[in-house]
Amino acid sequence: MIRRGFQVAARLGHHRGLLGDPLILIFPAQFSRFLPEKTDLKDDALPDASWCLDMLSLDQEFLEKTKSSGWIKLPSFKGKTQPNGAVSGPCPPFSGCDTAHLSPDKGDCRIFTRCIQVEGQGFEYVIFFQPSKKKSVCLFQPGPYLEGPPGFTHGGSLAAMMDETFSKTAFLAGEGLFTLSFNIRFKNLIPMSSLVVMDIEVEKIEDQKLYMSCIAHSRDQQFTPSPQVKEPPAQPQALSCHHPPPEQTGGRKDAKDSSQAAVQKRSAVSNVEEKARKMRIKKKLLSQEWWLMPVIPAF
Amino acid sequence: MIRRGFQVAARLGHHRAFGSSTDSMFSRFLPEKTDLKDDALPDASWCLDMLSLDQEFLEKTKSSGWIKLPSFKGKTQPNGAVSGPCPPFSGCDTAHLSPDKGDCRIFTRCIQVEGQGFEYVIFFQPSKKKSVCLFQPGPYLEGPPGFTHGGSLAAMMDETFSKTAFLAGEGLFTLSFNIRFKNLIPMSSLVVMDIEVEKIEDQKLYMSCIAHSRDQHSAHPSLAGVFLQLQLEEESPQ
Repeated sequence: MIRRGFQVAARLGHHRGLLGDPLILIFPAQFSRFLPEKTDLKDDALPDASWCLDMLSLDQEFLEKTKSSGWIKLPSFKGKTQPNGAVSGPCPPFSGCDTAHLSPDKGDCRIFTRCIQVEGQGFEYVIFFQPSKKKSVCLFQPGPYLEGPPGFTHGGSLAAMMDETFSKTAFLAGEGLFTLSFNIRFKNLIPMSSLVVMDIEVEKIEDQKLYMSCIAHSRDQQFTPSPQVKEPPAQPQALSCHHPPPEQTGGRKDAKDSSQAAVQKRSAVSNVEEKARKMRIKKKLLSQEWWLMPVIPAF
Repeated sequence: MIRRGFQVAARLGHHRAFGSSTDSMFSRFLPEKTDLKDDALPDASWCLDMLSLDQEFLEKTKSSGWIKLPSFKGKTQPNGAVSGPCPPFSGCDTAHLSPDKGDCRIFTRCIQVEGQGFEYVIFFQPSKKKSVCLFQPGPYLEGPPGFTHGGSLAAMMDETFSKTAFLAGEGLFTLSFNIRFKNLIPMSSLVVMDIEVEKIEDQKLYMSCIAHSRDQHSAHPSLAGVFLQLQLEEESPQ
């Protein structure tokens, strides 16, 4: 699903040639594009007193990688719809998708994974992205407000965290906008307040869809598991989350006819018209004033 | 997954005759401590659709065998004891639970600010093994601007599936679930989830769910349709 945080990343479509290693070199210089004019927004992806030792040390490890190995740390903000209620993002051309219900005084909105602002009680996480390999790692520590079975994490909270990580990765890796389908297989329970490491990879991009996979595991698992490791990790796995690349056109209305899990029929619109449409959407994105801080790195 | 609210329900395994009166079964779900607040009651944040459907189903609880499930924030016991069965999975160890680990909440009741988080109520029909969940996602569940986060919908479905699976067939844990998203759900709008147990075999419960707006009937998901399949491993209660 489109995240408000990706409005600036939409520009990247114009700079596709920069994706890959050269992009890393321009990161530092363009990082400032992603810093908000208002500096009172707090980056929730920074360590705090509730982070366990494993999470702190892995966070440090990846921060080192951001300096040397092309990894990027994604800042993360609570998020807010504009006070006048304006939709600060593109509204997809679905029937029934109507912004009239948004009233100016609808109050404080928050990105779901940052809804709990009490330190250590909700979603404590940080995401690192590696553009060259189109992969991400999410360090996630579920707090006591995410409880399911006594002392263990709610499966739905894990699904939500994976969906959020998939969304960010999909957009950065291939301008994926919306989740089409999402499959999870649970292998084990996750103790509350323990560290969960999620390794996400883009498996393939075809037919305007991104196919991604994720394995969630404890720290004991290797980050680069050898191919010989056949035994599944002791923690739940989520596989085959499908994110489509940017907008479909008429194809989306055909989706309901499909009997397959994540297939949308390709629009019959010509490539030229598709490109023109993409340009219009991107121009629209860029023309709106977003005071909401995007959760994307500097490209 | 087992919910603390079901530690009483776990005993029901010994009393498979669900056909006993609705009232007697319902009373098993009431906690001994009455200071717990039932969050599945209407409040000022509920939209009109939700209020009217809630009333409709409350009428059905009197006449058609439906049961309204109370819903509590939940708390691990102060002494840290696990108030429910701990499954025999490797790595499942309650030693990490310390007596002072603070306030724990069922995830779907983690946001206690009225109208901001998960506002929902679940009705269950034992005779047909089906449930209906009336769900209104609040502004703290935002994903795309003005719309609900897909993960929050997944969490709500997981919670409803868990309760239904346990009541319908002592299902304890989620094995897998699949979601297909058809459309975005506007924030603070009513989502009606119709859940059914499709089959029970090989110690697994197979369930389906269709989420739709009030205008839709469950058999025809369209604008807000989300399809979910869930497998639960059935275990004998302790």
